[in-house]
Amino acid sequence: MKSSEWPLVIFTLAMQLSVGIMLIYDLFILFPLYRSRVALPMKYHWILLIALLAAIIGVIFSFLHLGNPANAPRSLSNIGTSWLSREISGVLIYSSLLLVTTILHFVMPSAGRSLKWLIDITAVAGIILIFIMSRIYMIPARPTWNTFFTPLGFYMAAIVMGASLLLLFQINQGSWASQKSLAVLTISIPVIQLALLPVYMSWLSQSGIASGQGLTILLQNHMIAFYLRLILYLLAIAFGFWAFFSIRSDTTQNRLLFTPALLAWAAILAAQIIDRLLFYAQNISPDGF
Amino acid sequence: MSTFGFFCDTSACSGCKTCQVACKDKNNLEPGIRFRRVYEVAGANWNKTEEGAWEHDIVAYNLSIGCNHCEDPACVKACPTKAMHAESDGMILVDSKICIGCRYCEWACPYGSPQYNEQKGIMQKCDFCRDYILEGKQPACVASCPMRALEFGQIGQLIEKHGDNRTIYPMPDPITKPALFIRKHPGARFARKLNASIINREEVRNEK
Amino acid sequence: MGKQNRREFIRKSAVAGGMVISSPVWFPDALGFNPGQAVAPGLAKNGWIRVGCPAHNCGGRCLLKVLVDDGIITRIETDDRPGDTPADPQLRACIRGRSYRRRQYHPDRLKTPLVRTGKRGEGKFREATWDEALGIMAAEMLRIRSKYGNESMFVPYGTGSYSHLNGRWPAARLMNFIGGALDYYNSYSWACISKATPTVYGTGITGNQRQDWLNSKYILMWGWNPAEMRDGTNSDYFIKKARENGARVVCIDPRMTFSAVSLADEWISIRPGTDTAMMSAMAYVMVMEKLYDIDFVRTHCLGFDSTQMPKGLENEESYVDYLLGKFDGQPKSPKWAAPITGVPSETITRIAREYATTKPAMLYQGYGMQRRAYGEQPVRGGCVLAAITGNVGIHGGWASGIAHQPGGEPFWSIFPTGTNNVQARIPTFLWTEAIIRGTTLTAKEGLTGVEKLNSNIKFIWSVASNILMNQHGNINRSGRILENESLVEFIVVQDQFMTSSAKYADLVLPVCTHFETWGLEDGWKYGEEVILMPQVVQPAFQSKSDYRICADLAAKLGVYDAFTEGLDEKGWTHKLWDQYRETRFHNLPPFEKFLESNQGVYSVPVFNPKISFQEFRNDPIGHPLQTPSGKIEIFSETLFQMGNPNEIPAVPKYIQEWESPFGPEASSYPLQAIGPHYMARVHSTHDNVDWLKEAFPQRVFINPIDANSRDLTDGDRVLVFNERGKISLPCRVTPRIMPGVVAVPQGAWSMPGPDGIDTNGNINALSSERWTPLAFGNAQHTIMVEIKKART
Ligand SMILES: Nc1nc2c(c(=O)[nH]1)N[C@H]1C(S)=C(S)[C@@H](COP(=O)(O)OP(=O)(O)OC[C@H]3O[C@@H](n4cnc5c(=O)[nH]c(N)nc54)[C@H](O)[C@@H]3O)O[C@H]1N2
Ligand SMILES: Nc1nc2c(c(=O)[nH]1)N[C@H]1C(S)=C(S)[C@@H](COP(=O)(O)OP(=O)(O)OC[C@H]3O[C@@H](n4cnc5c(=O)[nH]c(N)nc54)[C@H](O)[C@@H]3O)O[C@H]1N2
Ligand code: SF4
Ligand code: SF4
Ligand code: SF4
Ligand code: SF4
Ligand code: SF4
Ligand SMILES: [Mo]
Repeated sequence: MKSSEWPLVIFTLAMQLSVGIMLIYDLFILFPLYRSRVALPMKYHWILLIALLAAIIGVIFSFLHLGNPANAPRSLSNIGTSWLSREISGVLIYSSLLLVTTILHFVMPSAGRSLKWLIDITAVAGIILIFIMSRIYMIPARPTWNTFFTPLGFYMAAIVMGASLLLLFQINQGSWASQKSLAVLTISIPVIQLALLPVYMSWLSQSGIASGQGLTILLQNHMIAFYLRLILYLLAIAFGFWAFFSIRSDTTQNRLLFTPALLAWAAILAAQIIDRLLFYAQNISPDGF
Repeated sequence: MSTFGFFCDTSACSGCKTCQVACKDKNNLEPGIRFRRVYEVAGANWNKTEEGAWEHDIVAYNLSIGCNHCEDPACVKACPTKAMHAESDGMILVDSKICIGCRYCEWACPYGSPQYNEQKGIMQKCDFCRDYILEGKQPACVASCPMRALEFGQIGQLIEKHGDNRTIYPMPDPITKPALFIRKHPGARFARKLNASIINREEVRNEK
Repeated sequence: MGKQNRREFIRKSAVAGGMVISSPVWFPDALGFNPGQAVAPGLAKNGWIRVGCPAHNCGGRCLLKVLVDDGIITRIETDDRPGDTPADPQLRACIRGRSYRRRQYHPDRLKTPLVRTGKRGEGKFREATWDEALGIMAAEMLRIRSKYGNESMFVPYGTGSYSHLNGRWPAARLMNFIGGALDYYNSYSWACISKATPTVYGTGITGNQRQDWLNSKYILMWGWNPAEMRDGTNSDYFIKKARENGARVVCIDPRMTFSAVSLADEWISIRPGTDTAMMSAMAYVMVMEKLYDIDFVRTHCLGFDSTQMPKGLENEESYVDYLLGKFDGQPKSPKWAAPITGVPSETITRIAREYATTKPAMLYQGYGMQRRAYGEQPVRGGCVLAAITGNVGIHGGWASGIAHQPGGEPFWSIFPTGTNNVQARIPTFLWTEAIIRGTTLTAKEGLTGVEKLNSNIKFIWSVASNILMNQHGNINRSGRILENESLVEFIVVQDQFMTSSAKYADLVLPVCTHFETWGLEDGWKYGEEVILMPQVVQPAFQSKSDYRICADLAAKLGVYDAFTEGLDEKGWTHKLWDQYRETRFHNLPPFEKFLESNQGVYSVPVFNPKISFQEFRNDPIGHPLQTPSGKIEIFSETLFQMGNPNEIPAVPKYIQEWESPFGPEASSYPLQAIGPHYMARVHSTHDNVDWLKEAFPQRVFINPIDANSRDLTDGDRVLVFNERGKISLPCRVTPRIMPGVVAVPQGAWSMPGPDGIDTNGNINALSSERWTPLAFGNAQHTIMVEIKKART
């Protein structure tokens, strides 16, 4: 595995975690709360801060990936045709929105719910960003990446990392239902990822030399990582179930959720890291050129 | 857009890699950076006969590629900084003063042409020996070929002389419209059937 | 970049990045190479200079154009003379010539004389001044000469330089001024072919000028690989031209060489060491189907069948007798040959028919198949096939054998070495025997000039050679012999790098490169040309030219004036140039004028290629060959009289090699290993050049079938071993080599680890010191090995 791609692994995962947090927060926590008139406690704003932190880490690592970061501002000059240019713009827009949102929430903690539109916008920007990010990899010269599995994988990574993290947060003001939904997401995405694996692999094996070589990379060169990821998926599912059954409507009992949620989150993060490393290991040109 | 192109006669290319080194000498390239690469394609079935002899249906040929200065260059489209750009004469060049070293052009190019210089943190690439061409000389690689298997010229003239074939197994479909014209080695016809592949990967790529 | 800038760049990048500069070779001045001085008088200081490639012994002779900037070579290009016609083609350099800056400015260039401090072979030295070093050397020479005599002194085979006044020739000359030294004959290159060819034709001049290849309609490249081992600059290109003229080309080689890939219409994979079996079967087909040239055989040949045997030997085995199995009961049919050669019988039959019926046809033999056990046989076999198909003495034909060109072979070196007062000569390959048991050698071991030697070899002065510990058979044995200081008492190695041989020296002398001194070259086997090699830059560090070292040593030995004749390197180059003008190239421009023209090469276009044996063909009686019978000797009475029919038969025969897949050794070592000459090197020269290693890394090439059965995947580090040694290197799994055969390109520097395993892949750790019966030649391609995955 090329060491030079670690920064990309961290950058993409950090951005996706950030977007995932915003998305899940918006849909599964804020949205149910929206109609009730409860004021948002400080803990909720910390969530934004975590998303912001993830985005900042992402941005820093995106710089580390560059050979010559001094010229980075130039990277916006080809939005016309370059998905990378678009990605960098996207990262800037999303991060700025998130920054503004977070600052406003902290500056005016009581204004919380009336600023929901800002969170909506940030989340939408995040969704678009992930699409752009995936488009970078969808190029004919990289047949193993040039498939809808790429955006699918990116979105799933965002959702599952966001959901499991928020589950860990045990937002007990949230409805019992939203906690259960987070747990369901934590379980079902790894299930889907597991289920898609054979589909992806059979696609690889059927589509030409480069992709066939991709299969070899998975099953031979990175065999250990490949199976470790399977185990981590299974662990994540198991912990997810444990978490699911630990959720009580009685919010005072929610302490029980912490341990399984933490374990699930750790398994998921580890699985996504390996998943992403394997993704970059699949960086192969058509037919060896 | 593009006006110049290369011609590679794969039926005569011996794989000697003189072109590769002529280029390295001209451009002072570290080991690991190859503006020009020579790919060795081979495939065969070997069978022992009843007599105890060996039968084979081998195909093998070599293919020398620099940058194809494509008419529809994926690298240029991908580059976020426009460091990778097309000159008015169609040559695709990297402006190292602008390049951020994101390596995206490297992913986008189907031919492995952009070469990352780790020490300098920037992308480098065959510049068609632009200085030579402007002086009316041949590119260093072309002038070096002991088999006289490489040529360079105006795209129109090359097509007239050698036809408009821009691919040979296992090169990808010429979607970028590479300005590389190829005379096919006769064996190439059977290459797909024999599951031939590039067998000298370590010599043409840096797989770390 | 000017000098100042270059230096500054170095400093900046080194400091700024806090990093080590991994390849500083483009900044030679920063490495301490002597820049900034005008080059030798008589030449422009800066700009492009045309000069011969420091060819070493590469098999080519090409023209380079070097760009000199501030006393440093900053670029290397090649022949750009307009025209480039087959009559006078450009001499385009190969990958090695184009990489030369990386050798020229290699950080490991030897800088000062070195005196051994550790044990022999340990590689421990201290620096010394020239005065001290040559003082020690002169004293040792005089001591050993007075104790053991001149026959104990030896300047071994060494091909590092064919730039005429460099390399071993000045050393040989100096020895001759102090009473001479033990001499050798024959070569590592073509011992068998140069010995065996005259047994058929009475001469080694059996080729046609190369332009004549364009007249051929059928070319058998038999173990010949001009696209990888240069066999004359442009030979591969001439085959391309011949094909354009309609020739069909078939390559017979255990490997699908680059020649087979790019020059041939068909590749026939043959088991190494079995060529004579296939040749015999082809002749069998020609006899059975009456496809041979019956008239030509009748009028020009001897010993074909029982009707044309020499007087008194009528009842001995003729060639046809052998083919039909009249004596041994075994017809040499394609069915017989198929399991031996690995070539299907139908293929043998078809090739026999094609070669016999397509006229004119060439059978060109490479030299690899004669660097083998019984290497004399395929040479004679090839010659006989050429003869019985009537391809001798005609345009587009080819008589086979060593095939030097009519009009004379190149001079190689015309530097006058003087006369050797020592008459004794040993076969090149037997120098280790002359060390351990020189005084017991006789004519049986090829000793000539004397009945017996007075002494074993006691003094070795190895110049431009890596024979001692790299290029000879079974170097682990060589190491044990050289280690023993009571055998050879003093060893001097004169080279540009600390080679594996230099590690075994008592004294190492640093030599400058060909760019740093004067010289000249002529074509390698082919090519009517003289190439001038003016000095273009200053010698690096304290290195000196071979000539200068010898001259300085001559001073210590008191023969300076006789040795130098008052001339320096340029003076000698001038003198040799004039000699060419007098003897070979009468229109050669005067030296100074040519030098000024910066033309580099003088070549004579060949419009009407000369043909060997034309007169003999037209009139065999009036122009007989120099063989005893005056005819083409398919049956050689001379060989017959040697009385060793099993190893030196009178007609060419297939003889199972002493290490073979059919012998008992195959049960432990089932794979045949061959050591082809590699693109990345000239023998061991260039092995430390990074651009060449990058392009052609040292690998053992193995067929997927053999790899699979050993559980090897491409790139795995493997151990290749037999009873003589072990080497470890990565494998390249490739269908371009036949099953049962592996190839380890010869010449990698021997780099044994503490466990004795060479980790750089020198095949001579596996090869043998056994010599061939007739030519006393090296059989270094005859090796059986086994391979397994290396630990680590
Ligand atoms: N690049 C390069 N060129 C060189 C040299 C070099 O070191 N490097 N050295 C030069 C010198 S000094 C010499 S003497 C010549 C040597 O020239 P050669 O002796 O002809 O070269 P080799 O590579 O030993 O052998 C030529 C071919 O013979 C094949 N071969 C080996 N054994 C057999 C056999 O039993 N039967 C058949 N049919 N084929 C066999 C090998 O696979 C190889 O492809 O090359 C010269 N040219
Ligand atoms: N197994 C196996 N062994 C072989 C062969 C084979 O096919 N297989 N081939 C054999 C053949 S054909 C040959 S010709 C021999 C060649 O064997 P050698 O004649 O020993 O040739 P090299 O190994 O190139 O060593 C030449 C040395 O000269 C040095 N040198 C270069 N230029 C100069 C100079 O100007 N002056 C001085 N003083 N030194 C210089 C180089 O650095 C190098 O160390 O190897 C033989 N060995
Ligand atoms: S070959 Fe690759 S780098 Fe060159 S122009 Fe085409 S896409 Fe760009
Ligand atoms: S590495 Fe440089 S040239 Fe390539 S895409 Fe990035 S900025 Fe453009
Ligand atoms: S055109 Fe010039 S830069 Fe491009 S591959 Fe050839 S020598 Fe190298
Ligand atoms: S120099 Fe010519 S023959 Fe050699 S690899 Fe390059 S294109 Fe092929
Ligand atoms: S063939 Fe020989 S002389 Fe010619 S460039 Fe190569 S090494 Fe030099
Ligand atoms: Mo040789």
